[in-house]
Amino acid sequence: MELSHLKQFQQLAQVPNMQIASKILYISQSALSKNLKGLESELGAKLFERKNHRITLNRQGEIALAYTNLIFEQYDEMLRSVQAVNPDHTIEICSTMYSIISYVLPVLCAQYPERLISTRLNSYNIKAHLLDERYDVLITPYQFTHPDLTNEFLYHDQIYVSVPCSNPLSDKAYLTCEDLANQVFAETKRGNPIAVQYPNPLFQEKNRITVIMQPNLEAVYTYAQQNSCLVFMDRLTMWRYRDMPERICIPFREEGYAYSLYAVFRTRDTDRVRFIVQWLKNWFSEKAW
Amino acid sequence: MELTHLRYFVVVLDVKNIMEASRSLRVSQSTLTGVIQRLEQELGVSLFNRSGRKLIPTQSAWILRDYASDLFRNLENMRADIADSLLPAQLRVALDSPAIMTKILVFQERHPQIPLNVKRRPEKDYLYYLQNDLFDLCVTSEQIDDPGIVCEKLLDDYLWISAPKSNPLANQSMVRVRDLKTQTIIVPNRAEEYPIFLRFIQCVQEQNIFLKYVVQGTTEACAELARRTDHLLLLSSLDRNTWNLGKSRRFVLINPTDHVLLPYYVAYRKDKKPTQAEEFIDWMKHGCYFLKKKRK
Repeated sequence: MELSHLKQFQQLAQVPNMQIASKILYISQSALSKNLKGLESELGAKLFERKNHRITLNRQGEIALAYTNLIFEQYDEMLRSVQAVNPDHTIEICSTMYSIISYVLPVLCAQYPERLISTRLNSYNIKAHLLDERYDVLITPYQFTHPDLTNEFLYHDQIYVSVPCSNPLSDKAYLTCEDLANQVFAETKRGNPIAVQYPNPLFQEKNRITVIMQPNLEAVYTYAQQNSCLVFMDRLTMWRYRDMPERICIPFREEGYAYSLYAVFRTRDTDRVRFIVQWLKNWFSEKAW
Repeated sequence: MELTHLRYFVVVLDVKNIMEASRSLRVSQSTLTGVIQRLEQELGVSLFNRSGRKLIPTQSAWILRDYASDLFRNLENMRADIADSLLPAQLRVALDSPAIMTKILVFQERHPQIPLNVKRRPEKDYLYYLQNDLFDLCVTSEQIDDPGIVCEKLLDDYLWISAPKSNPLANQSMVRVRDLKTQTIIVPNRAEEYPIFLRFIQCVQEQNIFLKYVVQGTTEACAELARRTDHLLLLSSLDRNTWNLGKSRRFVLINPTDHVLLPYYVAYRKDKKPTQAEEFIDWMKHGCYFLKKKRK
């Protein structure tokens, strides 16, 4: 069965006259009648009643017509949707940071409803995916040196530690690695801020900490709340969870633990993603920390 | 665009390799490459990015695939419906829920005088089916809002947990989804195809609860495993009485405030209510809940 045969059948149902239909379709009457016979034998039923040169749809023909109309509706929709995914329109943003994905990018997407922006959390192979054009923008703490890539600075981030008020550490103005020795932390493998410099030798030898892994960040905070654990947070997350009861966020000041976030994109795409980078820069600079 | 070309494209997308696809389709590689190129030209978008021998489908390719399978399904449906229309008149029912399907099979067994023709179809096309007189009744969980269509509520499907009496949950009259944390739950394979389980899974994900699932192939296998182990078993109201799970287990309702419930409606045309529909609808409303499967 071919779409062209269905199209001919559709036309024939509208103008139930072989001669006129064949003229509209620019094919010979014999070809039209042959195609119709082929269609009927494939469907296993006659679709028209023939009476002295006049043809009318029968019950099976009506069913066939209903489906044919549905099929062509779907076909048109298919063409429209396939062509709507113009690679110039959809912009894939990937970030290694959970906080960026869940607190910042939804605001961006809401700002540009007419642009198709999709976001995802990933930290593996991101450079390769960016070069493969699977992602268009990366938001990461890393800078990539590659002739085709541009790195744009977004903002300086800082790590905080969320400490329960019952913990003696909560009186401190800031924390260092030594303070954190023997403490229990709740963590997740994906998208956590400290993953940037983690595992770190400072934590592994003298000042060992215990880390309890949780499947995602929300679970980390629930777990920490219930078990009085400590949590590493970036600034965005701290901002969001600063009002957690019985807890206080203390800056973590240790050499090498401050980091910056960058937007990375393909240099040739600069014009396309300019508005995103600009929006992110504005957003971070306007935010009162 | 030819349907054959679309079929080739679907195969190429599935294996992502021209060589393998040409072998399974028994056409030459150059023909296949030509077909894909023509499709790309016709649509004006690129469908695959090439990286060595491997093809990387673009976003357009995935969308094309979804629509293509819809299209092929409709062609199949057309063939099947035309074949059925040659048979004597039947009450044609479209539905998408396997749970309702099993109930209807029981109805058919008990009311042989009503000839039923029940087909599984996607819910999005129901309005079109009714308007074009392709089906008499549609059983759906989404209300159809149209002036020409009557949509009657049939029943609400709730989700129950079967818990062994040793489990503290079994003493409660109702549980919330969050109470199920850390429990092990038996679910059928491809649970996401059953809308009520899908709602449950969504609810679990929304609340960030972590459950251990034990996946079994069929609902029968789930019941069998439940008889042997202490795991919880998820059952919808419709399935609840189908299985004999022994006296050591109790059913506990999952609180409907968690939105783990699924309404079912039956829709038909206002001007074309089939004569035999009354009995069918009545039975679905009242009879099917309390039905026990005959034990062999």
